[in-house]
Amino acid sequence: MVFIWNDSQVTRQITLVYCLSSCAVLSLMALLTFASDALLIAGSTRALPLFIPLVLFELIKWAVHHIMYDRDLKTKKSHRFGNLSVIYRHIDVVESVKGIIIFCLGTIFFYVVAVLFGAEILSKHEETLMFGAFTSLLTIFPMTLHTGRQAVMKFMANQPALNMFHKLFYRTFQFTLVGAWVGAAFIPLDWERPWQAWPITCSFGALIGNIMGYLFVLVQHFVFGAHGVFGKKKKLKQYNS
Amino acid sequence: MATSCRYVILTIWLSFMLVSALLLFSRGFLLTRNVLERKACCRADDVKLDCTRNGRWSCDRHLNDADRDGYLNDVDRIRYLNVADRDRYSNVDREKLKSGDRYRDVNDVRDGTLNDGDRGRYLDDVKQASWSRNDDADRGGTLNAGDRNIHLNDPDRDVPLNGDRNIHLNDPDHDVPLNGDRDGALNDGAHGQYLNDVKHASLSKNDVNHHLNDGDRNDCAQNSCLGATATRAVVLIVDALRYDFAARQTVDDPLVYHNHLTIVDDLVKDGGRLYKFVADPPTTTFQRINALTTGSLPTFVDAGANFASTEIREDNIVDQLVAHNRTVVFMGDDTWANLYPKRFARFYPYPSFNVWDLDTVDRGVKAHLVPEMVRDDWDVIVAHTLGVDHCGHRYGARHPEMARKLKETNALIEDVVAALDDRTVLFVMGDHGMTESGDHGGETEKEVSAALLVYTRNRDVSSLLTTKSTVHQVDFAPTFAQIVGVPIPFSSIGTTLLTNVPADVDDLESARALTSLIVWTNVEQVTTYIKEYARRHSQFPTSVVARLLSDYDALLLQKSASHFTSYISDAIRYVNDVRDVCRAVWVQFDSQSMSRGLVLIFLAMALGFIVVDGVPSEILRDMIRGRFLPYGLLFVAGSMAFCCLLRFFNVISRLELALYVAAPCSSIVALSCLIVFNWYSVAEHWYKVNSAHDPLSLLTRVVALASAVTMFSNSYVVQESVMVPYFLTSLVWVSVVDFKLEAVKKFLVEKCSNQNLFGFVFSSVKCKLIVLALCLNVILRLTFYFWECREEQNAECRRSKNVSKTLSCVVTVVTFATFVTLVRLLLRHLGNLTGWRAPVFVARYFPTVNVVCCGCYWILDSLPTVTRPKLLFLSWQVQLLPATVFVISGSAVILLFASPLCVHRTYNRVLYHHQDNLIPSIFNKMRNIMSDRESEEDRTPVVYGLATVYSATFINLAVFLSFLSAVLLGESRAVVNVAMIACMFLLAVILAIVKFEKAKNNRNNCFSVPWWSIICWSLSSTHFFYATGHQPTFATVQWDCAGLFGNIVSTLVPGILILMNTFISQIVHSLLLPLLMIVPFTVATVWPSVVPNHDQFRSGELELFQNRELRRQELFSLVARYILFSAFKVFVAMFSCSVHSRHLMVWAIFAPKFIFESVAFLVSLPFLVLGFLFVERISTKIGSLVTDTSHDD
Repeated sequence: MVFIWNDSQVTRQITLVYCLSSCAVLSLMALLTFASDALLIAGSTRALPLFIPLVLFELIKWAVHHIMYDRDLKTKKSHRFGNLSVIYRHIDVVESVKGIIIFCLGTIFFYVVAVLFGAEILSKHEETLMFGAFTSLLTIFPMTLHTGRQAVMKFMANQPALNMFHKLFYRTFQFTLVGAWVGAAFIPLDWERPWQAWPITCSFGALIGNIMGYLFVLVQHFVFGAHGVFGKKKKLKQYNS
Repeated sequence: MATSCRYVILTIWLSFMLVSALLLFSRGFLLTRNVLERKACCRADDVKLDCTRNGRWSCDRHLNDADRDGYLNDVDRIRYLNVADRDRYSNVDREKLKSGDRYRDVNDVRDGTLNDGDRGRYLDDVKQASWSRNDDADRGGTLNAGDRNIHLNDPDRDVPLNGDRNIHLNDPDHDVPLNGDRDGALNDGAHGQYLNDVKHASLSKNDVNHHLNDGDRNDCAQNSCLGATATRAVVLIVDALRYDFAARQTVDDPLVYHNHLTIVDDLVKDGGRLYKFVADPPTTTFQRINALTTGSLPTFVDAGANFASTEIREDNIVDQLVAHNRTVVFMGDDTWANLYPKRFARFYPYPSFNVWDLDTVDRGVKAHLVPEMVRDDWDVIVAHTLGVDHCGHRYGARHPEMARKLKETNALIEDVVAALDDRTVLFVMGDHGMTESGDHGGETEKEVSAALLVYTRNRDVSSLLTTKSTVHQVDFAPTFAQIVGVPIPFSSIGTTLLTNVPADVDDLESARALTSLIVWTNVEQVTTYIKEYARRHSQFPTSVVARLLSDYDALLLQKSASHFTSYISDAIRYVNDVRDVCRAVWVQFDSQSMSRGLVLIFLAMALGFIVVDGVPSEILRDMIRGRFLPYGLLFVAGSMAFCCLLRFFNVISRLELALYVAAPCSSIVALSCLIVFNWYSVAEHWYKVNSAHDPLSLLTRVVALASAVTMFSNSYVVQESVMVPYFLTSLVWVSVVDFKLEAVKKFLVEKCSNQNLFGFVFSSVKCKLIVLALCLNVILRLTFYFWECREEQNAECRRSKNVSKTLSCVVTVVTFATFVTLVRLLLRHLGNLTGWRAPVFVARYFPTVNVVCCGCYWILDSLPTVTRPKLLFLSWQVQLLPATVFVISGSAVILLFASPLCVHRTYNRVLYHHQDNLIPSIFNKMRNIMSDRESEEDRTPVVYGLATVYSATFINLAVFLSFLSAVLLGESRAVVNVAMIACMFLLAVILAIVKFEKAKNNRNNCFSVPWWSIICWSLSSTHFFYATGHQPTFATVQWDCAGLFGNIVSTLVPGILILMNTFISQIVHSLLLPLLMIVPFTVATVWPSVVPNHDQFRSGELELFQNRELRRQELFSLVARYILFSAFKVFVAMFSCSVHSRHLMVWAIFAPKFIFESVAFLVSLPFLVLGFLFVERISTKIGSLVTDTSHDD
């Protein structure tokens, strides 16, 4: 768990690493799916294996994050697993189960949202469910994994973010939804392309939106931010919110 | 009062200038064809062909009989060579040619000239029918019988490729002339043995030329009227007889409408012919009758006139027949009575408008047709049955009723055929087709492909129109005219389907002369029409007209000089060319009017926007009070009067157009003066206001922009039903999510536990808001199931036309009962159901009566036709029920306008203290404000429901409107009305709560209605347009509601009913628009916990009464903004129409969208003003109530 109240150096570093790696890997994934036919199976359960790299990537990020920045545990270098022991310390079965439940709830949430926005309820439930799972994987899963269950609940209760790192997930959540929202615009067009089927454009739009969210945070904080390339040397307003 | 009048006048003025710009545009866009009222005539004496004095015919017919087998093969083949099969057949032919070595050998042996290059032509020729065989037969003597046998006995040859026909082709003796004939005239169809008469040897080429050369002497459209003497015709029009209803289908699983017209098959075997009869859009009965009789292309603008058909003043067959002393008898569809009043010798009209009545017209036709045919004093009988069409409208094509109607039609045709005599030609035709759901009006394949069957017992009077399996509908009029011997109607642009030239070798000259005459007659007539049209109207580009005329001159030269066959083919090409030019030009728009209309409506919108949005309220108030309004109006009136004056002195030619331009122009000048003089304050106002950058305003702009941009793409127009709720849902949810939780800071500090946090969240306003939005969204989502599909939507769209009627009936009645009960409980809770004032009484009892009436009506109506008579209800008795609902609801609305206050006034203090469920009135306080004097304690008047006096009236209004629309929409869709009313109120409440949050404790802000609320309202109105089962296409107009009150002779009542049915959503939304302003105050009194500063609004809706000036101003601003947004949508539709005016889909998608959008705009305007007036009326009545009470004291 990261409970850092102000935007300390560590949070900034974490956020930077996180954004950069996510941008790179997700863009790569988007490119790969775009180039291959993997895009077309986004609506069926056959696309589930494609989730595995995403999940693994998030886990790796989580691990790296803890290995690098968890100072309390880093001091005990004598452990026989070395750095990896940090990971073991952090694995909590109950919390994991709760996290998975939250992920499932997120899937259901996105399913309901999709239906309310006009998706078919029953006749295309597989597609809608896959969309929900994918969007949940992009938004709720990292949030649960990196910031913990409490933070997700706070987010759901419309509480402001604690710090920059938490704010990152809020942003990506918003951007992912906007991406999916824009993606729906392609469905009614009469281009007769196979990828116009529900939910391919929406899922892809969500992915692009997700990347855009990371990019936005990157640009906002590390290009124009307080310590960014073009940043002014004063504390920015949005950190307080 | 005067001030509110001025606001209303300003609103009307605003809408007036928008409407006149809109009309200007639609004049340019929709009016495309002018009617020329000239009648055609013949210069020379009519040429009558006497087919009885025919020596040669007997032998010919004999040969016909001999060759009957081959002939039948032929006819059958052509009959089945419909579109689907044709490719296959031609492929087969080609393959046969390629693979059949032997065949080629034979060809090579027999005719060295038939090389590979000729094969294509040869293939074409193979498809020709048996007239050539007749020709052959004539020459039979010269043919080597042995050769023929070789061919006939050829075992490799398959049946459709009956090579018998090829003999003459391969015969060197006949090769040249016959090929020539074939290429030219005969390709087009050959028949008309009535022209075979030899006596026309005198009509040699020279003769014809003589006629032509003195063509300029006379003004007639054509030289001669051809026709066989004593030919009679029976024209039986079976409305919406699609081609595949008539043609035999050999598919494995025939649909319910297949293969019922067995008589067609028999007739075809007996020499009749069946064609696909391609109608031009719009495929509505009125235009089709017009096209059939005038041979012209009625344009789209008449599409809506299906029930308001007026007399045809263009030249047409019926008039020509009457002018030539033919007796025309008509029976059936009474549309003809309006089209051709006083033309028919005998006339049996039956009402056409009640589409629920499948049988009356058909029975009438059946009762009169055969008896009329038996009589001897007629020349043409026209019969028009409607059962098939009505069956499609009511049940769709795939319904057992359709099979019954087709079987009845079959029986009718059988009777007619039995009564045919030798000199009568029978035409059975559909005027248009229908889609699978039974609708028509557009230009899809199924809508335009009708069937045409031609049959006669006498081969002399030909029935064999052509060998093409597809003919055009406009070709019917000239062909018919030439068969019966009347001039071709003046404005006909069809091609005469060429009659067969007697292929007697001995008399080729006369045969050619006849063909020439027929074709030339047509050429002349078409040319005269085009010349005349081009002279009077500038619709045809001069270059095109010049080209046509030079073509005509070339033909004139060619006629005497050139080779016969090439001349004939050129002539036919010329006529077809003229038709294509006309088709192209009559979808050409008056671009000047269009561009002016576009510019004017844009300017009007922009200036209106500045006036409504930019001009600060103080200046607007001064403007309203000051002299701007009368002077501005005077200016507009003056400019229009000036136009009239100019017209009077003949300076301008088209007054209507001038008025359309003058009205918006002068208004724009007046408004721009206002804006220019106040520009500084406008700029300052906008500078102050334009600082908000919340996600909601961003999304509002995105949605407004998106809904505009998407109208330029046909797929988005088609799928608009999906997009609108998508946008609406997004807007609502963003407004809800954007809503700030109160006292957030507190929790940041306290860092309370999760449970506390969630407990707090659940009890917060935001959570209530989310629940409300969820309710709204779920209702919206449920209404998706009432969508109707349009043709262009993909196959995934399903419609539930044939769900169990009884079930939907019960569901609807239960829903309505619940709805009425809930409304009653609500009103009682609000205190608006106390006392015995007239509106209170009405609100208490009339809805119940309405529910009972509606329920009875639907249940009786849903009973099967078989059981209904057992209940001893006559149809007029059943129709009494909806009439009752109509009268009750209508009179309730009127009563609510006359006496709008649903309040109860008393002096009983006991009630005041002990009736807790009534909202106590704050009347006392208010009266103190009003009357400025102390009153005695025990005489304190108590007024129940005063805090919700505005909303109570509007709730009652909504209830009665929902009944009106329920009856209009029918039992299967009436549920949507309840959903609509519920959605509207939920939306208003949500928007009110969000608005309170956004208003930031500024009382004046609570009066104004922001743009995003208005866009939500507008989106909701569009959504419910779709949810009530409509689409912006003419095929999905619910014509069946016009027959609600039985057969009303007038066209006005059904027209209004259909208009109300189609635009009920827009009407209700417009009328209830003031709710957006009223509901915040209702919420503040009824549900104060969701309003942060509810202390400010203790007096509830009386705030509206008290802040008179603010109310009027904001109400005007609300209505004007709504008008502007609607006008914006219309503008976008207009713009997309003009951009896509050459688009393939313009008549299928963009033009109907524009028409529906603009009609919705026009329909909603009066209701918007009415809603405005309702609010003002309530305010006035409260004022008088207050003064009354003060006087009582």
